[in-house]
Parts: sequence; structure tokens; C-alpha cells
Amino acid sequence: MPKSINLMPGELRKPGKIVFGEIPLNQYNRPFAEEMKRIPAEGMIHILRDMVLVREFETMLNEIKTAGSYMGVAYDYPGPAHLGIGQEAAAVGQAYLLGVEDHIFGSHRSHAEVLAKGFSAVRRLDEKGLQEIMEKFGGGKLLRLIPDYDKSSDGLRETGETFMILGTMAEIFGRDAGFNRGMGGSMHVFFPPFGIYPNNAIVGGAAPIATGAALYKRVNRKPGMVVLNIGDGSLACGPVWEAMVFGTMEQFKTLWDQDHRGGLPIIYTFVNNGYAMGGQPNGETMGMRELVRVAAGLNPEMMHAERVDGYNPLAVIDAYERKGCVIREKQGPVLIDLITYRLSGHSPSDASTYRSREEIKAWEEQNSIQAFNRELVEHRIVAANHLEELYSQVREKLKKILTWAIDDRRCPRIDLVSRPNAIGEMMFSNQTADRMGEGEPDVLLKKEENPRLRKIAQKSRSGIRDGAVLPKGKAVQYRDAIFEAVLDGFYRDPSLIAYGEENREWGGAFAVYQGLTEALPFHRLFNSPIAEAAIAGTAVGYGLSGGRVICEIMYSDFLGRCGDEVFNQLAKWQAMSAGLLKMPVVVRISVGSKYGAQHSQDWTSMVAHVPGLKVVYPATPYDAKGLMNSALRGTDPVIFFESQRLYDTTELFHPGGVPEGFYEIPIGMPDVKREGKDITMLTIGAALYPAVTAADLLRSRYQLEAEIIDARSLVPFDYAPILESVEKTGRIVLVADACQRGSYANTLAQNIGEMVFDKLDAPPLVIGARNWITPPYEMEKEFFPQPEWILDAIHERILPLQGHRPLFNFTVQEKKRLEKLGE
Amino acid sequence: MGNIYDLAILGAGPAGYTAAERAGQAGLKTVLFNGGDLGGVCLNEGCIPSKVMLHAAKLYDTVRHADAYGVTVSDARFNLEKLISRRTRIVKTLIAGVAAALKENRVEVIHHSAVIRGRRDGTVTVQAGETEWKAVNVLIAAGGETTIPPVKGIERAMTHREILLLKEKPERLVVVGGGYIGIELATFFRSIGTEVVVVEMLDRILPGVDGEVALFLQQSLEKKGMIFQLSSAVREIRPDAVVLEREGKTVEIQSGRVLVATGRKPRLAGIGLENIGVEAGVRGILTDPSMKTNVPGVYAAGDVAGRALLAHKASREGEVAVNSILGKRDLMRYSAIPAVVYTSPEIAVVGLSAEEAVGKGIDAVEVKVPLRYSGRYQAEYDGGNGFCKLVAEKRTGRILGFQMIDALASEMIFGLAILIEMEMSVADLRQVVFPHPTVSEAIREAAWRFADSK
Repeated sequence: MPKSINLMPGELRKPGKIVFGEIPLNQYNRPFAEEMKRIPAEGMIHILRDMVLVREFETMLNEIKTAGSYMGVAYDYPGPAHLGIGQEAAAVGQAYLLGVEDHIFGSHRSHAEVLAKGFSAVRRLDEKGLQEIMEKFGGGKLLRLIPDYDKSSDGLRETGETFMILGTMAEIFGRDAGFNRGMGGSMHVFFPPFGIYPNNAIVGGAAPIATGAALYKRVNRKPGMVVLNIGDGSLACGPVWEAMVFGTMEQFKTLWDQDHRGGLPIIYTFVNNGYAMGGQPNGETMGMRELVRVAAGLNPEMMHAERVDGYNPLAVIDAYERKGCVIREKQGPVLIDLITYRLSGHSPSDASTYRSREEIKAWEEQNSIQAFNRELVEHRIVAANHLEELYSQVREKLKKILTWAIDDRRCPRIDLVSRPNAIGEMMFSNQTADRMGEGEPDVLLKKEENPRLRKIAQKSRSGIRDGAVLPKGKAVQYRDAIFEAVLDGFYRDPSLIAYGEENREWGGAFAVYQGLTEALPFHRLFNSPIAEAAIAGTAVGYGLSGGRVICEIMYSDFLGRCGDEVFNQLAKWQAMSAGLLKMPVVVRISVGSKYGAQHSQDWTSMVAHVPGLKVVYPATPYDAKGLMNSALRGTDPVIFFESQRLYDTTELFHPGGVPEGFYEIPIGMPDVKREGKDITMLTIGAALYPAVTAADLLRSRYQLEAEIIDARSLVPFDYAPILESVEKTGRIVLVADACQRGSYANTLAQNIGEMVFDKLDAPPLVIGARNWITPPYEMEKEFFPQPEWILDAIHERILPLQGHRPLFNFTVQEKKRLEKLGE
Repeated sequence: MGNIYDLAILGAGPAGYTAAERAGQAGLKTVLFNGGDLGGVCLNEGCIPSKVMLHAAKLYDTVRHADAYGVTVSDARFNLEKLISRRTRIVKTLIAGVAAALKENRVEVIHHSAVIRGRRDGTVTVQAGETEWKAVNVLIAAGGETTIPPVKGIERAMTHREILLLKEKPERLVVVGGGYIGIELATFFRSIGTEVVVVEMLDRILPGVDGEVALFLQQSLEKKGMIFQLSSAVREIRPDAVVLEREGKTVEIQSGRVLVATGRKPRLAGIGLENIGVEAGVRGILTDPSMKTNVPGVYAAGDVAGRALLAHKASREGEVAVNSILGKRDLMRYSAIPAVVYTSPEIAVVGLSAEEAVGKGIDAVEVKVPLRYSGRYQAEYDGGNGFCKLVAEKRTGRILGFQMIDALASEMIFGLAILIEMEMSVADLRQVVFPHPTVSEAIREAAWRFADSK
């Protein structure tokens, strides 16, 4: 969209052809003797030790799952165990050169990568740093379980290794002392202080998140790179493709300013064990044969892609060393097809019916640990019986750690008896912070020079002057109010960035961002591809890495395109990290209108259903600005719904209109928009306006005074003002634009019914949109709640209105009939 | 047409005319459409005419058996012609009474059936003949109709309507259906000397009535010479024989006049329900407890709304509908709808039988008291063996149901309906003073025989 890029017919219609370059497959062939000059003997010994530790850790889990005990220690573990037996060389090789500042993200099968990265970090951290991490983590809870904590130099590293194993094991077994207090478990265990970021139980789920983490490093010029580990099966997942398209956006290398220019520092590693659970991407469920081939489609550099032999740790080290250089030269991203093989099943219950004995046998013969040990013995780095001794030493160590991890008295689960809502307390971080980054925010203009602000300055702050409603162009509109809050945020927090579709030159599809382009450099405001999974997923990665971000989903109907990213990732990582991560991410989503079935549904209820998201839906400019300010100072994910019907609305309720300065409206506090004594109307979002008209009609036709309360937020929600109102009126009708079945208004109604049943003269009544597709704009009045509907429903179900002639059908019988039909 | 009515009522049976009177009285501008005579099936060809006839039969029985009481009557004769003219007179008087009440309450009566045409801008259009009418509310009270089973030769059978037109006593009558209509008419014809066979598909008569009570009636009628063919399905009606199927075997019984009384069902066709989308199932128009249908402003009451197809249920539903239209909260309850079978001996029941209560998972007990307990019963019902049964919840004594056979059970049953409506208990009943000597004292005795929960 930038005008600097011209789409010229002469160029685009010109004949020609693309010649793809070569993608190397397993080209590593350095002799071991030469490697010995590059990697010290101690390093070689560490590689072997780590591979054995990883192998034995997974073997331990396998034995616990299948036989109920390990080394005579009995334990019943019903949870998941996606083991990586056979994948040790790939994991250990990858971690060998990574620094603590290099962040890995993984999959459900990432124990190996996590442990290897942890062992590597324990060796790389300085003593003080390591000691501090261990002593501080969980208030020393995990460290205290290790009786032989030794602060001497060697002892500290030994303790660090034990700490890593115990933290992982306790996490897998759901213990409070685990890295994520048991809230992550086997498929999610991670530990940011060692550079280990969330693994994901959703196949490919980490791809957009890791891309966002790389974006964070690029934008905020943080050291290190991001290494993503996902399986070969994940290549078929849309979000993985979207993440790579996003990650390879050309603007990083061309449009962004000199200080921030460059490809994203991320290595997309496909840990290619040949199986996507039971299906075979190579030859069966995909057609690319060598998955590395896809890189050729993503950018002219073909993502510097290579297939690497993950059964040789030295080949892996070599690859990550070379690719690390590419990243440091800002030539990323990189794609690595890391060949490996899991000798274990998908999980211990897998009978491996889908693969042949010969195949498994052939890989067993390739045993990477034995092979590497042979080299070490041959080159006299270790004695002939070293491996045997190492195994027995490692087994004893694991047995010892296992007994600590499963000790219910010393290493219990989160205590929900003495603290019943302990998990609830993890859902939100509930903090405020003006800024998530240091330094001066990068801006192109002084704030007061902003052209949009200057235009807004010409307008009335209120939509009402001298008791009369001003024309819409004469007063601050809903879109202006959001703009003001967003602009403030950009001048307050240097880490804040915003992106989405048409966010830059266009000014956002609905002109909220007009005036931002002039104010902000590319790295703070940019266009994304039309890739909602990447938009939301990268925002998750950016947020959990420590930055603040506003991403935009143009229509709530498009939420389906980023369902996993919003519902599983954004919502859950704060709690799944048990407080290690924060998620200062604001997702702006507009609720559509006029564009029919796939662009006009109100999906607020779906979002409100998923624990872990704060959900707001302001209906007036005053509320929109105040809520956006709160969202942009908070540390929690906020789904910020905006109504397309309301973008040009002016402030008609708040006396004095929209304040120019900064103010916050607490998320979760409903607002009484009009007082009344006869019936309460609780509205969500744009439904405020038909309710106001209905209240006027109730007053003029039936002499009834309605009290109107605007929910403003869906989650959290303070019921107090509603209950106070209902105690006065005895009747409540809830109005929302969401389709009535499953609408969040039903949840509100149910809770109100339970809380003040005795005060109610009639059951709380919910009016929503019909349970249909949204029809064409010209027919929307048959679909979205209208003022007359509210009167009809009140007449039919709450309070018969003398002489009222219902135009719409709110009879109980009709509802029963339609529900029976699913209509 | 600018003239918009508050309420249009379709049908002038007990639901329709009662609702019309109440609505008119409350000041609603009401129009009532009715195709035939006012009063519906009940008044014209059901409850009322049959009561005239059953009373005559009872009287005939009484005088013929008055000897036991020391009164000897000879030469008692039954005059069907005279009975029919009395019946006609009574029905006419009652119709005139309904018309007068409607007039008094300023109800506009259109003697033409109406069809609902549509609903627009909050008003319903109904058409009667060539004229259209508009109303904000509509009460559908279109009544019910006799179920005609798909049996070969069924056209040879009469319904309750045709049998009332018989000028002469049939020699032999086969009654298909052991429900209350069939049994009442069977009783009448047996009393006047017709040879009566009742054919019923179930193994009992009067489904829905307590089994012991129904069996008692069956045995009483058998003593009077009525023949019952139970567990028998009619397969064909021939001039010479009625063909039955019983336990898989074909049985032929001698034919005669045949009455089909296998039940009644709501009348749903020809009302225009489909024109405004009123939801109905095979059991009638669906309503909520305020008698609202699924269409705003459209109500249904009486047989057309299903459930118990009884006149007194219909009129109460009509009243509920009118109250709802008036914005008065009034909900229909079906837990205390009495049912009466006007046989000799007569039956009256209300609420649940013990069997039904247990079926609903209620820990209920029944207390049975023979009516001989009452001195008056012994005085007036020589050799009578009737009884009553009180059903109550074991733990609380809450009264759930009551059944009585013989004496003037029908005149007493409302009292029990009150007890159930008011959710009263056996302990409450014990505190009520009953006149002595009356048959009703057996009811009070039942309360005392109830074993209190310790």
C-alpha cells in the first residue's frame, strides 16, 4: 500500500521466469578430528551427557506411563507424555550454542528441547545470575527441594542441572514447585529465565507466537534470536504458513528505518520426525516430499533453508552456528528441516501400527548417542566404559529427583483447599504500567503537531450543546476518542506497536488510525498481511516477550480465522505460566454491520466465554477513550470491541463530553446511562441506542420510566449497579446484538436471576439478534434488536402494556418452537 | 376497516362463550364467531342432552327397583319420544340463556364461522363469509371432533351426534370404545332395554380413571346385563357382524346398531392457523399457562388446545385467556380438573389416582372408605357397594387426588378440587365440618383413616 512501491504494468506483465536456487540437504561432512578443534573436549562430554539425560528422562516417563514405576519408584501419572526418545541429538545440538538471550518456543513434544536448552543455559549463565534465578524463582520453593544445594562453582552448575530437571519433572506432574506451578504440564513446560518460552499443545501453535517474539526483538532491538521448534506435521497448519508469511514480510528489510531494518531474527525449525501423530507428511498427507522445499515459496532468499541431519549433534551445532550468523546479519528468517526420528510412539499408548518394524530397527541402529559416544571413545575423549557409567549415574540422579518431585508432602500441588481460588487469581495479572519498555518512544512528530488532533480540536467535546444534539461532524466522534487514547499510548510507552490489515496509510479500515501514519515510524505502525492467525498470534508473542501491542481484527466475524490464537493462546498463557508471563495485548475488533452474514455478526459472547480475556464493548466516545486508556495501561489481554455503527457517534451521555486529557474507566464497571424506577434495561455495546429509544417510547406511551445501564465491559463485570437497579425496579430486560442463543446477555441474566430472585417480579429477559445469519443491510431491522422489540418483549413476558399491539413475536410458545427447530 | 376489536373469539362452546362473557363484562370490545348453535358440542350434542337422557334412565331404573324401599311401582314404561322433546326444550332454553348473557355483556355475535386470514401491524384479520374483521387479540376456541378410526365399514356406525337422533330404541347396540362417552350412552340404552356390547381395545374401560373404580363400574354394568369385549380391536363393521381381533384371533359378534366412541380430538383444520403460523401438534394448539399461543395476541382454549377435552376445563381456559389479555396474571393449572362419568353408579374423580401418583415418583397412599359407612347411603342406596378413595402424600398428608363411585359423587367432587387447588392436607380436611347424615361424610372419614406420618 505504500505509495513508494509502485505496481507497474510494464514490470508485472513482462515475460520471464524464476530460477530457484539450491536447497542443501544434509551437506554436513566435517571430520570429527576437525570438530575437536572447534569444540573443546569438555563440550563434547557435555553433549553426550545432555543427550543421555534427555534420553533417560524420557525413558523414565515412558516407564512410569507403561509400568507405573521407574527404578523401583512407583508413581501413577495419568497425564500426557509425548516423548522424544530418539530426538536427543537434534535437541542437544540445537541448544549447544544458544545463549540465554536466545529464546526457544516448542511443541507438545519438547521435553528434549527444553531440557537441552536449560542445561545449556545453566552452563552459560554467570554464577551470580544462575544463583539469583534459582533462589528467586517461586520464592526459592523449587530450590528448597534440592537438599544438596552447593554454591561452589561446580556445585552450582550441578545444582542448576538438577534444578532444571526437577522444575520440569515437577511441572509435568502438576506440582506447585514446577516451573509453571503445574499449570503448564508436559506439553507446555517452559522457563523464561533460561530462555525457554512456551511450548504449545496446539500443533504449530507456537509459530505465530515465536514470530511475534522475533518481532519484539527486532522492534525493541533486543539481543538474541528466536528458535521455533515445531513438527513436520504442523507445516499443514494455516497459522504456521501465516506466521512464515508474516515473518518474511519484505517491509522489514526495505521500509523500516535504518535502526530497525532487517529480517526477523527467527529460525523456523521443523523437527522432522516423519510422523504427524500417525500420518506421514512425506508421501502420504502432504505432497512436498522434502518439507524444506516450501521455503522457496516464501522469499527470494528461500529462507536460507537447509535440511540438517538431526541424528548427528555436531551437524546440528554446525547448522545453528551458520544460521545464527545469517540472523545476526539481519538476513533472517531461516528455515531448518531438522531430520530426526522418534523411537517412542506418539504417546505411550501408541502401538505404532502405522510403521514397520524394519523402519524402527533401522533407526535404532542409527542410535545417535551410541554413535557419538563411539567417536568420543575413539578420539580418547572418554574412556570405553564412560557411557555405561554415565547411564548409571544419570539413572540414580533421576531416581533421586523423581522421589523429590512426587513427594506429596514436600512437593504438593497448588493448595486449593486453603486457597480455593488460587487458579482464578492467575487468570489476570491485573497490573498497571505506563510503559513496558525503556527510553523515549520513537515518533516522527511532536504529539501536539498531529494533524488529526488539530482537526479534532476544532470540534465540540460533547455531542450536545445547549440541550440540542450537534451534527455528527461538529463533535468528537467515537473513532476520534479511540484515536486519542491510542495516540496517548504511543507517546507514553516506547514498546507499544500497532498493526493489522490496512492499519498504516489507509488509517485503519474505519479511520480510527488516521493521523497515526504521520506520527509513527514503520516499526511502530505497519500493515500486516491478511492473516488473522498471524496478526493475533504474533501479538501474543510480542506481548509475552515484554512489549505492549494493539493488533486489529477488522471484523468480529474474522475471529474464526484466529480462533486458536485468541481463544487458546492469548487467553491462556498468563495462567499457564502461573504468573511468569504478562500479556499486555489489546485486540481491537470491530463488530460489523451492513455487509451481510459473514461481516455483521456480534461475536462478543464467544470471546467472553473463554476464561483469561478481558472483554469490553464501549458504546459512547467517552467510554471508548476511557476504556482504551485502561486497556493500554494494563498488563492483561483485552478484547476491545468497537461497533461499526457507532464510529461516527458523538458523546450524548457524559456531561461535558469526552475529556481532552487522560482518564481511565475501570474495565468491568457498568454505567447507568439514564435513571428510572419501573424497569431496568441492561445493554451491551451498540444495543444501548435502541434501548434509549425504547425507553422514550415506554415513557411517552405507557408512562413507564426505564433505567438504562450500559454494561461497557463483559469480563470482568461488577453486578452491583445492576442489582441495585433491579432492587428498585423489580424487572430487567437485557439487550445485546449477539444472536440470542448463547449470548453473554444470558449469562448476565442468569446471574442476576440467581442473585436477586426475590426482588424480581418477572424473570430477567434477554433480547438478542435472531438466531439466523445476518441478512442484507436492508433487512437488518428484522435481525438486530429494535426499540419496538423491546416493548413487545416487555409486554409479552414481563409487564403487559395496556393496549399494546406487539409487532414482533416474543411469546414463550414461539421461542419453544423455534428453539426446537434450532432457528 | 377502521373498526378494530379488542378480542375476536372463534367458536361459542364453553371456552368461547364463557370467555366472551368475561371479556365483555371487563369492557373489551368483543366479537364472537360461531357457525352452528351457541353452546358448542357440550350444550347441543354432548354433556347436556346426554344428562337429560341419563337422568331419565336412572329414574326408570329407580322406579323399577323401588320395591326394596317399600314402594311398589307397576307398569313403569319408558317414553323415548317424550324424553327427546324434553331434551330439545332444555337445550333450547340453555342456548337462549347463553345468547342473553352474551347480549347483556355487549358481545357482538356473528353467526358464521370465521377463518384467520393474517396478522399485520399488531392486528389479526379474520374472515367470516365475505366480511373481514380486525382484532388485536384472538381467542381460538374452535372445539374438537370425534375421532373416526380407520376401520372397514365404519360408515355404518353412528357417533354421539347421530345416536341422539334415534327415535326408537335399538334392539342391539355395539359400542366401539370404552371411554366415558361410550359408557354413558351404553348405560342409557342398557337401562331402556337395549342389548349392549361394549368393545374396547384396552383390557379395561375408562382409561385415565382409577382402575379399581373402573372395574367396579364394569361389574355393576355387567350385573345389569351389559356385555364387555375387552382387549378387542374392531377390524370390520358388517351389516351382520362386527369383526373383532382379540389376542391375535378373529372373533365375530352379532351386529346391530353401532356407536363409535373411540375418542375426540382438537379441530385444527379450517381455522386458518397456517395463515399466521399458529403452532399445533396432534394434541392441539400449543399454549403456555396463560393460554397464549406462539403468535402474539393469539390465544387458544378448550378442546382445540388439547389436554383434557372437557367443558369445564375449556371454560376455565377461556377465562385465563381473557385475564391474560386484560394484563391480569392468571395461569392455568391442570392438577385439579374433575372428571365425572354420569353412569349409574356414577363416578367422579379429581387429581391423581394412587397409581398415577406413584408413577410420578410421589410417595403416596390411598385410603378407601366404603360408602356404607354413611347412614344416608344405607338409607338411600339399598345394597349399594360404592366407595371413595382419598390419595395423599404419605409424609405430608397433602391431598393429591380423590375418586368416588356411586351416590351423587359428581356434586361432591368440587370440594375435593378445592382441597387440591388450595394444596390442603388431610389435617386441614379433618378440621372441616361436614353435614350429618350425608354420603359426603365418607370423605371426612377417609381423612381420619389416613395414617399420619410419625
